[in-house]
Amino acid sequence: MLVLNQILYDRFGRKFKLHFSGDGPIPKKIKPKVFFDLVSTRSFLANLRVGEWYWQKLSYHLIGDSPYSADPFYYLDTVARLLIQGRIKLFVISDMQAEHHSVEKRIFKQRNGMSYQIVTPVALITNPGKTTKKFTSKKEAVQFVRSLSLGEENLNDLVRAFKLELPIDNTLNGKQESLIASIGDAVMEEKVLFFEEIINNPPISEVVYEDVDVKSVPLGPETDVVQIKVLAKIDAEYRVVLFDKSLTSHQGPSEEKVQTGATEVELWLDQDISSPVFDQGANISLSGPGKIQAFLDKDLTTEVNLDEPILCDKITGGKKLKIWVKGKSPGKFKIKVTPLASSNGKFLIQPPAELEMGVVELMLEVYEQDTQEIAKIKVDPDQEPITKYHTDLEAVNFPPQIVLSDENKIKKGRVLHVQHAGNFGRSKVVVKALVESQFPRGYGNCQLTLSSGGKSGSVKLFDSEFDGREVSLPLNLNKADLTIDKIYWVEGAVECNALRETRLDLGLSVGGKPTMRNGDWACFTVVKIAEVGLDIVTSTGKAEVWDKARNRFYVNLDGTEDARKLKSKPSDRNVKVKAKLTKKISGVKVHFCLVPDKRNWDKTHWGANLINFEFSKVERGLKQIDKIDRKDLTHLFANTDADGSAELDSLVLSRIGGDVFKLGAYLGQDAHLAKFVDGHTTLSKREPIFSADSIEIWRKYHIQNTYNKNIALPSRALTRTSFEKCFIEIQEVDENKYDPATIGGLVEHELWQFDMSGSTRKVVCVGDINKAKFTSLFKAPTDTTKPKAHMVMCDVQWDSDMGSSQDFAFSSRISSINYKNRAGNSYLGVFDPPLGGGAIVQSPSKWAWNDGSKMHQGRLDDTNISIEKSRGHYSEVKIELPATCPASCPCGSPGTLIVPTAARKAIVRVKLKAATGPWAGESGGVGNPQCLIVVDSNLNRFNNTIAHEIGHLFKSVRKDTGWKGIPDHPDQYIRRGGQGSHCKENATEHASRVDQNGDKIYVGGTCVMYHVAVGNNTFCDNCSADLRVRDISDIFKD
Amino acid sequence: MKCNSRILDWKIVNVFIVVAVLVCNSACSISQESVGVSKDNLNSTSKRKKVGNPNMSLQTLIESLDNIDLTLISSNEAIKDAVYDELPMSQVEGIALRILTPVSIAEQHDTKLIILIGISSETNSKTPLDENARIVWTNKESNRVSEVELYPQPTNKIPMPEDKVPLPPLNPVLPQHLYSVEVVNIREKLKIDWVPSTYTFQVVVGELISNKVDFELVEYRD
Repeated sequence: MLVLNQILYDRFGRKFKLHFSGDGPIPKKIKPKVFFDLVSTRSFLANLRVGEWYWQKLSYHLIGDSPYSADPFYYLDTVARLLIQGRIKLFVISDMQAEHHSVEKRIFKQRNGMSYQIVTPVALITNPGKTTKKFTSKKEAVQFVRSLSLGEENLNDLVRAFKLELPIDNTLNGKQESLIASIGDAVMEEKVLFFEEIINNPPISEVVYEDVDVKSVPLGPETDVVQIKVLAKIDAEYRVVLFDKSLTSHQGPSEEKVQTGATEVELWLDQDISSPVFDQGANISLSGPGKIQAFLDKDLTTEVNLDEPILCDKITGGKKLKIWVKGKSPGKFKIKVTPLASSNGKFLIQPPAELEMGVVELMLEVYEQDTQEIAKIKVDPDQEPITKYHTDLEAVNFPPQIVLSDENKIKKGRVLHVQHAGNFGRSKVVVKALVESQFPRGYGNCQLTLSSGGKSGSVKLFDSEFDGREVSLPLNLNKADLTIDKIYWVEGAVECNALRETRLDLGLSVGGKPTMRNGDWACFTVVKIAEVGLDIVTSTGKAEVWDKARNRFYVNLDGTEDARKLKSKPSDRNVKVKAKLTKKISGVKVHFCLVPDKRNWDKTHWGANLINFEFSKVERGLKQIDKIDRKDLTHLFANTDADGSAELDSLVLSRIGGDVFKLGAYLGQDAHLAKFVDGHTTLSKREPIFSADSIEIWRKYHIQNTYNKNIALPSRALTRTSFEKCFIEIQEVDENKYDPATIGGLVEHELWQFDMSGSTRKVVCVGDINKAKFTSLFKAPTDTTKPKAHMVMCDVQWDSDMGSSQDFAFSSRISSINYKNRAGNSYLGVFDPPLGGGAIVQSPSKWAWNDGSKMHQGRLDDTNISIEKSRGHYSEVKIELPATCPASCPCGSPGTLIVPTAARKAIVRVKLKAATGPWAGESGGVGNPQCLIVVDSNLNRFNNTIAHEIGHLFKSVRKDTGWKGIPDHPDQYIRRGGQGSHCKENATEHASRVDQNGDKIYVGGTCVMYHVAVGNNTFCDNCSADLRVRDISDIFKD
Repeated sequence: MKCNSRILDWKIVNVFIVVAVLVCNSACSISQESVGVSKDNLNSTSKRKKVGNPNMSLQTLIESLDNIDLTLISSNEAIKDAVYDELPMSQVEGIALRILTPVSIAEQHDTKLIILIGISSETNSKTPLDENARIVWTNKESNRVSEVELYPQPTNKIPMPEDKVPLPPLNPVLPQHLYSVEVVNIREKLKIDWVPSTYTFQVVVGELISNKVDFELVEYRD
């Protein structure tokens, strides 16, 4: 007969029934609760609301006489063992109400009659009358929680409900104590509160217990005699683990981490009989040179400490612990899983499970150009012939590419340009041979896979540095073939959106399973230079040095050097030499080059008639600067900014008119493009990125034409054409048409006086006497019109000249003379009025005649002369002696008839205010850009004169030898019929006429700078070469 | 216009002088006799030479210079007119010089050399005056000899092509003789150092050689 109350309650009111053998069979639908080990069973029983003595009594009834024990757990243990053995049963009688109470509403009743309700701090507000239990120390709080005798299940409920920190200790007892400690902490921190209420009911144990007859209670037979084999199991996706080089440590904080592919391993404890489930966990041990790191997730965020046992709930009862492992040290290793010993004797633990695996190191080497060594390469460009320079360039051997460190593979990456027409370089990559000893046995058939990936951009693989065959990606390589290194070459295919967004990685796969990626990997930055250009914005009112529409760069408009420098000049212009990538990628090194057009050094471009011209000898300072040292192979560079633009302000254009350059750009990793030579058979094959516009070096020179408004100025087109050969653009500015009537003191003559044409047209004769009236009309050059010269256009040009005193012999009283210059080798012009104003006849002009007995003398003045319209020459002056001698005559017989004859000639001494000329033009002098040009309807002569005089302003024809490396001018001369220094190309010597030195004068010259303006409008090659090199920033410059 | 002053190497100078003397002795009959005492150039009178055709005495030219009033020296044109006025109505070939000496560098910043050239058209055609007249001077302290063209050559003109220039007269009436008077600021033209020193000046035109005049620059004139 049942004598004990077999209905038992736990702290939450759940109801259990003890079932003894005498109670008959348990209904089939009810499953008794299974107990495996003493600790958990004892814990369960302790959680039931009965007093300790209940277990004493029950023990007594169940097993009869039993020694008394003071140990309160002794009797509990006795009952627990009977439950484990199945000799008594216990099953749950559902109490839905209790089970569905939330933790907060559960009432905990202590044996002493106190009742506690667990509440949150919020509940205090809604229950103002209630008091909560207070604790003075954590120890007191922990003891209180422990006194509630909550089982692990209840403790877990509390921790979860109040979101308390989970305990670290996973061992069974340790865990329970940790849960209690965790709740104790929360109680102290008043995250969890207990309403305290005294209930006057007797202790629970007294309610449920009824003293009984002490007849023994029959026990059932032991039912758990079968042993359960516990087997440790290991299953691995691969038996290889990729060695993790920790490359992610080199990634930036914002970069998505590229994890080395991990190997999935499953661990579990199997048992031949599924129930009861093994109650212990397992130990994992590793041995061998290979070291691994294990994680609970594929993303490798939660690491597993393999030195600690794995709890049974993770690996038993059909559960498998999945871990993902990556290699920390290469080499083979063994993983062993050993089940922990159980106190439950039913479980028969089998030998540990072992699996041989290997941590395999994959190595992908990525190379870049050795830019430091390349920067040291020197090639002398100043060689003759220039083909020698080109040959040297072809012979340049670049140093081998250098391997990037692991850090640089990630942090820096390899920069590549998107390939086009084979212009751009490739990066060497090497798949290193595998180390056989790292592989577990039976792993001969795995494959390495070289794959590309990344957020943006792409690369292509080739089998050689240049040209060659493309190798498809992903590339699978058999392990058997990787006993030696495999070399490949990578080129850019599609540009990245940002730095290092293209990757190559090495992975491993076996038997068609998914590849474990990123065993080794490297970053690439694939870029594309979208454009290279020269952009100049000129401030208002400043010189436009760059005519983009005509590709002309005027290097002379801002002094000798400033305009040549492709650099902003505050307040004048903003200059940008810029290369822009298609994407906004910063930190990419871009070289800029001024690539000379092949014409630059071509002698025919300079002039076929130049003798001994050698481009290499042309002064270096005149040539472009795009390298730190002219002999450097590589050019100046700049790095791109956040906008993907690189700007450079240190390029300098050449000063040589006619030079043509292409602005080019190439990456620091494409230094081979520094060898580009325009027009060369081989060196022109691989091109940098060029600007759309070429840059042709020009100089611009402004002229102001000042001329009589009453004339139509003939075309100056031929002048412009003349200078275009020398790459000087003549631009007319500030034209000034003057009205002769408004120029004070200007004396006009009738034309016949100068050309004996009989024309009475009034003309303006400009010369040294009056030219200031015209030169003052020069408008000072501004920033937009300098350098500038003044072309004063004249009808005729003569210079006033005070003639010498000349004696003529008259055989008649009236005679015409021809007045010559002091040297007697040229006629002077005698005009009325004289150019210098005043009297024509100068003192002391006089005459003397000896009549045979007496000498007669008298003075002459303007009344004695006449300049007649019908005269045959501009030097001709008609002189009429007085008919009789004057009163002042020393003869003493004034009034004597003066009758010179051939036999008795009169001596006529005249000194006239005359003029030298006629001149076709006059050039200015240093600091005086004023030229006089005689208007000539013959366009050839007219323009010849203009070009000639401008030429003189630029120091043509050069006398200097060894100047700027330009051949000495072979046709330069002075005198020989001209004034100053001129050019005699194609001239011959006159048969008889000589100059003041007795040298024959030249005739028939064909250059603009021939001493006479005969109508030549082409500068000879030598004069042209000079003008191409001359500093045109002002007149008379070097 | 820059003068073409240059320093001659001593060897060249010596050769030049020897040749000049030989030429003048043979062709020009240069006289070595004294030509009288200048009112203002006492220390140079003993060195004046009679140059030229015996029939056209250089003395005449020298006297023409000696007769002018040097107070007119401040005006080049005035002094020229004065010289022209002094010339006889005869045709004398030769070159005469006159210079005021000594000159105090403290009192004067420059001084002028008066040059009178008489030359026949025949001689002028052989050695055109404009292109052949040279001033030769010697610094007596350093014995350095220098020379410069008397008439600077214009270098900035381009002549008309011949077909644009009227044809020369068919039967020109040309001078038989000419005189030219030049007044040269020697400090400006010769670029001599304006420090106490002594110089001699001569002017040469082809085979014509002037008298030699001494010139002294002093700190203060007594």
